[in-house]
Amino acid sequence: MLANYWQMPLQEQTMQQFIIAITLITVGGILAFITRKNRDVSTIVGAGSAIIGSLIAAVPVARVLFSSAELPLLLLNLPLGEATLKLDAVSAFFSLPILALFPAVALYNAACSKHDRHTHDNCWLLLNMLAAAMLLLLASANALTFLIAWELMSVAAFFLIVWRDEIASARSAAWQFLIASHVGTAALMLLFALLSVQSGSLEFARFAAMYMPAGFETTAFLLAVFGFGVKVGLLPLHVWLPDSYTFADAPVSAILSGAMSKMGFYGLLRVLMLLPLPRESWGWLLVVGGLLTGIFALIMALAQSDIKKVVSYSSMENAGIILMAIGCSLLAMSWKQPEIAGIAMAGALLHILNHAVCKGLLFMGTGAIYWGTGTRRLELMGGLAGKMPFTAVCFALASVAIAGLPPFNSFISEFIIFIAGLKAAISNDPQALLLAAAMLSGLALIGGLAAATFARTFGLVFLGAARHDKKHEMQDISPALRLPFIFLLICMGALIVAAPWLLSPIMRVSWLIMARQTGFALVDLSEAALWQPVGLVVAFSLTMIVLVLAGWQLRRKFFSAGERSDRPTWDCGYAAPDARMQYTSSSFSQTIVDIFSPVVRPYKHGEKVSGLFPQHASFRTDTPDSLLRYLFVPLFGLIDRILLPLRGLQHGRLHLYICYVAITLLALLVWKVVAI
Amino acid sequence: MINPSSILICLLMIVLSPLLPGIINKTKAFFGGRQGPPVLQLYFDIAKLLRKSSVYSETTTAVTRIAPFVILFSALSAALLVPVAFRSAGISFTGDIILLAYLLGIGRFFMVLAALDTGSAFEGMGAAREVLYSALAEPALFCGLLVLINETSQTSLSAIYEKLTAECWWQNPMTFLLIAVSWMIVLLVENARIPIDDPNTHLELTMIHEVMILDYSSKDLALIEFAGAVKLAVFSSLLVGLVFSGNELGLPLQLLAFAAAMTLVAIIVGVVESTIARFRLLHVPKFIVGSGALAIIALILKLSGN
Repeated sequence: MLANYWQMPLQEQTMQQFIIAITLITVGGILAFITRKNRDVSTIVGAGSAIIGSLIAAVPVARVLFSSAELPLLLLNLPLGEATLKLDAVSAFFSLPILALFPAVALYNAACSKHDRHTHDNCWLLLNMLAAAMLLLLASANALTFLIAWELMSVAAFFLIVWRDEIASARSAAWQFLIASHVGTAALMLLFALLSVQSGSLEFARFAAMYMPAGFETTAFLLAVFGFGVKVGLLPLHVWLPDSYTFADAPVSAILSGAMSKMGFYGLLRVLMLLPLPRESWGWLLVVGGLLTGIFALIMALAQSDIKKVVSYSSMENAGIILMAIGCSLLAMSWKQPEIAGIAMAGALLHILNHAVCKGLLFMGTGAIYWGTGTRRLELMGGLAGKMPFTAVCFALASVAIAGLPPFNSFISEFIIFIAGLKAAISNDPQALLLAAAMLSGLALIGGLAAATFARTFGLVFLGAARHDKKHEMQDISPALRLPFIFLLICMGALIVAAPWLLSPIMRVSWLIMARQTGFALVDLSEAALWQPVGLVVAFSLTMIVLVLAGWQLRRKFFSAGERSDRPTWDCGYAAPDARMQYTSSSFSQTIVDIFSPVVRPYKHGEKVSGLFPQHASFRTDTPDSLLRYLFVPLFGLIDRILLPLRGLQHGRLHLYICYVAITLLALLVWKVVAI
Repeated sequence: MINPSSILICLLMIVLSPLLPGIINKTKAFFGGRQGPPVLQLYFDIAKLLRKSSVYSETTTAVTRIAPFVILFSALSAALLVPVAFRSAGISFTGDIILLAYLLGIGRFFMVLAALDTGSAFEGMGAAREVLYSALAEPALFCGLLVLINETSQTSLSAIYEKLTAECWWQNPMTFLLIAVSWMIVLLVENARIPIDDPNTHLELTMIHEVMILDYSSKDLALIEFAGAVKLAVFSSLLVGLVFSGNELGLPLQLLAFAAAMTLVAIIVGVVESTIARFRLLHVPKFIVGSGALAIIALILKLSGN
């Protein structure tokens, strides 16, 4: 395959390059595993292959995205027949989050491995396998390779989540992940089996070309929503998500949330590309599902007292926003409104990218906080900004960005999604107006709650007086560990400044997603309608950053005569303020959580304070996921009870198992003979 | 679209905005049978504060120092995006109201952070209330906006207000009345007025906006007070543009009419503050959700009218 690499035409060379990158990452992971006894060598091999592999893969991706190069198919000979690999603009776009987060995570891991005694030996093997599986998934144009890559990805993720397997809750989180992910994969297998039976092939290209009987496409769509919905965290299917991200190592959570869960969106869009024109009901399913997901996730996030759980639920919230935008696009496709469909899809795609970068920063930030404080509990933090200024700045920027506030990148993509809603409101169709109402007021509510969530998180972790043990020595992260943060901050800045220039490639990707089913032309999507608003938003954002910083510095230099900052907080004349008098994270969110308490059902443990001079009192709230508690635990308990009698079949005697195989084969033989 | 003449008017509005709280206070004084502070009181306060030097708490960080500038920038740029004096806004484009709402959002975010920065229980309390109430108020604003977009088929605030004439009001009086009431409530919520919050209260436990800036002093407080006045002017002119239309008038008349209408809004706020008592905090969310419900009823009326 590689022998005559240099003689190939450029197009083919680029495709080969992508495969070389995948191979390099895999081989690097395996070599790092072999050399694991010598930690330095293993780190250099693992991180080096990750970074070089990502750089190599970035070239074909950039070529496909920006120069609209059509890469040829690549045929692989597998035991079960030929499989094609293809890198089109959609796959190239979805590899961007991987290519941004994977090097950052590799840098973080490499810098950490010296200090952290918990870093396990095979982490490079699994991390590189995860990234390689995701890149392979994006390149596969065949159901079989797609499913194999999907499974590899899930298995690598499972072992990465369970790295602290001495903790019982980490084990249970990983099991939840494994079960959820396999329930999802079962739906996907069924989906691809249906498609391949109908078309007589495993190739995606053949699926798209085939005739679909009535009702078939809706079944396929529902299977896809279920199977991929598990990965992205669609409302009732999200229960694995908060725990898994919480118990995984911080950089692993970053790549799981920023890149792996995005593969769910990729799969969903890929299947939509194969199905005929979307029905209205599909769009509504995604809009309503996305809206409920977003609101539920934020209420749960506000009720949590574990910092990583807050950040995990926020991943789910952003998935809700993206699903809403995709749903809006599907509805607009079914109404033949290319402008709205294009804008909504472009907003969804850009939001995927923005969320990946911000979430990478936030999860790595939680890792840095854990590194400094040794805890994840919000109630034990506070006042970290003075001790860890670098982490504080990174976390602050990422918090403002993830809350969807200007002047940062996530606002730009949310703004584009809002514009799709505004354009839908012009229509005289009552359904379109309803869609606009759901989008606008839903996004506004989600935005407000997200601001509350991240004001709470940043404010109570980094600001105020320290609640932790004063004797605990604390220092900011080491310079080497700052590199991945700086890298992601640069990515974030680039996503703000370059947003107007990104519109054109992103619009092409969204056109590619909808071109076949709808027959829209690229010009119908009216990318030009976005230039002016997005350009002005970017101009406002940059002006804001410059003016605020300039004002602050001028005030500090010239107007600060006679200032003093050596007094305790005035607070209307409190004589001796104490860190324990501060508002805590649960008191901050209590009013909001109380309003939604029928949904989140917080547990409250505590004793009533009674009598004069009470000596001892304690109060604790705890909010495990209500859907897990009230839906899935009873459901799986029921399934367990129903299947209990079948346990007799699983007795561990090998000769009887062989007998089962024989009986099955015999039954199949009989069936075959009778059927003929 | 950038409109230089409107930018000048907008600057005028910004400079004159501290008059609005003065007018509100005069109205309240009238109802209370007092003479009340002069209309220019806020100017005097700001001038006095600018001469003083700050005292910061030892727990505060750079957030407390940056926040006043973020709050001021957010209010000033929001003023640039809102249509003034029955003309188009200083800068107008598709979706400008989204940017407006989110710019005010970043100002609020930093005010909340600054409150948490002091590490005080009272300020934390105010911050927690502020984030909840504003999250509930925003959907009402956007729901109302939706009806206006549908009515005028425009997506920028200036273009919407240009098309929104008395005729539209005559055709669907109830719809527009509901939106006006709902936006009035949003104005009261966003600017921390009675019945949601009391700018004059002296009990920290019940305050929202005032308690968040409890530890600010001198120049920083001046910037925040000024930004508050500008924010009030922004919401008032949003309401004025919805209720009145004066596209055909000449510039001097437009300015006069706009000034009169803004004064009217301030007087209405003053009347509301004098006649209604502040709600119990537990009832405030219901009240705000009620304003959203009004906007939704307006939307349904619009749907049934189509």
